[in-house]
Amino acid sequence: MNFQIADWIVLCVTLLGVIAFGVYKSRTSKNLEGYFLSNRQMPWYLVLLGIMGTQASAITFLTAPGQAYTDGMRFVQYYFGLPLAMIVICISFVPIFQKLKVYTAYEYLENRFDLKTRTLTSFLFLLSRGLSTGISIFAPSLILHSMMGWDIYVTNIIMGGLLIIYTVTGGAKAVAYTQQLQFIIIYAAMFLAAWYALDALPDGVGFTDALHIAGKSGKLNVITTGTTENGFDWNDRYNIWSGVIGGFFLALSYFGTDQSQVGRYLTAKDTRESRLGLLLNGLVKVPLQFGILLIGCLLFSFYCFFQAPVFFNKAQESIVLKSNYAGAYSAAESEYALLQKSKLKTVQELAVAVKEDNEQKINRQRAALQQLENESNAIRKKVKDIVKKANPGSDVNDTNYIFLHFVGEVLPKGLVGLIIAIIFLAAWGSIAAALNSLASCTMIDFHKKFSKKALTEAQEYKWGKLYTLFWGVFCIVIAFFAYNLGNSLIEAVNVLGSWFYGTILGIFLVAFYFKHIKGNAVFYAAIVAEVIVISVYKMEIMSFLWLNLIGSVAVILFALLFQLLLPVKATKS
Amino acid sequence: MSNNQEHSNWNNWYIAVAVVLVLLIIFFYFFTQHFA
Repeated sequence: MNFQIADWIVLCVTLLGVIAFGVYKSRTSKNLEGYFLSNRQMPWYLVLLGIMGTQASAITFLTAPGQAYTDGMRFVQYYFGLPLAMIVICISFVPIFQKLKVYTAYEYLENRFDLKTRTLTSFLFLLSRGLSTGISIFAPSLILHSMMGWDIYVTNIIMGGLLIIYTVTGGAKAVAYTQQLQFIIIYAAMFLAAWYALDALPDGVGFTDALHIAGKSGKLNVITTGTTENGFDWNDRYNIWSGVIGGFFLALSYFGTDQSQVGRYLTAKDTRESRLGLLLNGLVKVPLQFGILLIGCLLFSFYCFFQAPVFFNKAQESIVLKSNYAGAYSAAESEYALLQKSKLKTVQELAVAVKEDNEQKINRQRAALQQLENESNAIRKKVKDIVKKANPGSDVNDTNYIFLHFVGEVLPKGLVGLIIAIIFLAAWGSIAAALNSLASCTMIDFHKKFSKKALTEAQEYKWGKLYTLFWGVFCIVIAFFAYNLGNSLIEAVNVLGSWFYGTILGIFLVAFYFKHIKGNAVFYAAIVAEVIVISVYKMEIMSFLWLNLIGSVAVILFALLFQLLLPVKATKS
Repeated sequence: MSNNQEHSNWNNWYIAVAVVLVLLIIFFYFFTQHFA
């Protein structure tokens, strides 16, 4: 990618500006409530931006447009369960967390069940969040390393290290204020990128024409039902049912029991401000995600008029071109370029047919376009096989590189720097919240709970800062390991998350809705549920979104059963 | 504000969020159909 001086200036000024703003806003009371919860003084809009900034990582902004380009917009259905989850959290979770004035979600579990259930869930959170935060540093760094040729270790340190400055200094307050600034910059830059995508289309081709081209190629498939001739496909990842039901349980688990999110709405002034932040997140999340995916569809239409690379990861491509497979790769590339010419002719005729409102002609061009799209996909698949053969350890998924390729090709000087800056800012928003929550759980659920030495407020504050620093360094080390171990670690971390989320949610649901169930019954139920979730995962019979539902339901059913079967004394702890 | 009033205020919020979701899904359905 051609990165010029103007881009460097924009990138450096944006990043340094955010760090300076974070440090400037970091004055807070020197105790744990000030450091981890901003003295519970945050208004709803900062809670809202905190929740959104924590959820949206760098990969969200890189993957979503590429996902729409390759697979269409059906990914948005993944978020359909989120607004419903917000309602349940507002009704059941928020009032209890606020009333008990907890620091961490897991603190409540000791109150409701026993110490071992609290410690187990907090430990599972630390394990999965600590590792996944390392990966969320590594994943965007790897993309920048491939696209820009930057050193992976330096990029990892900038991606995961600079934010430590304001996260350690200012705790939750600095995290909240920087997330506000990051949100404004990120969405302004994405809007500009969409504007340029439209502007780059040939003369006479407007927004609706671009939508018709994407739609007739099957990319505007926002609502899908997941049914095939053989009935419902349980392995289909994104459809309205997995989105509403699976997405509901995933969002309930993430926003209700993951401390990186709970910690955001615990900073609110009162129950009202927490609820407003969560409900507004429910209202705006789906349309915003729709907007980001729509950018991907505009990119698709753009690349119908201009030559798209057959494979977007240029770093991998250069490895193939130096290998014995260079000839096969170049042949596929030529085949793809030839297909592009037919595509250009078809979309031009389609644009005319749409303008004339000629139904017959539209149907003919639609069929031709879909045929060409199938052929394109077949060539891309062949190319990915070639890449895999040339470099067996490589990741052949180039979805994350599509948006950045477009940025490098079309966006003007300066704006490229801004887009690279938003990758860092989006990463910082979620990593900073994760570090804050990892430190609060370590301090509240482990250090304060198990240390025999009583600490003064000042000492607690100092330990809070030290734990934030520790987790920051830990996550960067994981990012370094991820580079050396490759895809295996990333996959392992993703799997780990989907294994535990449903079970943790099940424990909380039992706590809220089944008042007669006691500690031991839920503890053993959680262990059985975990075995079931892992078995279902290993059998590969359904998409990961359903694992959350299975885990939660299994905990509830087994807890009810154990409460009946276990002697009364054993169920109490 | 009395407890009942506050309760009903929040219920209105919850209904509004659910209604917006349903309207969005309906809009997406027609959006998909229109451009397909």
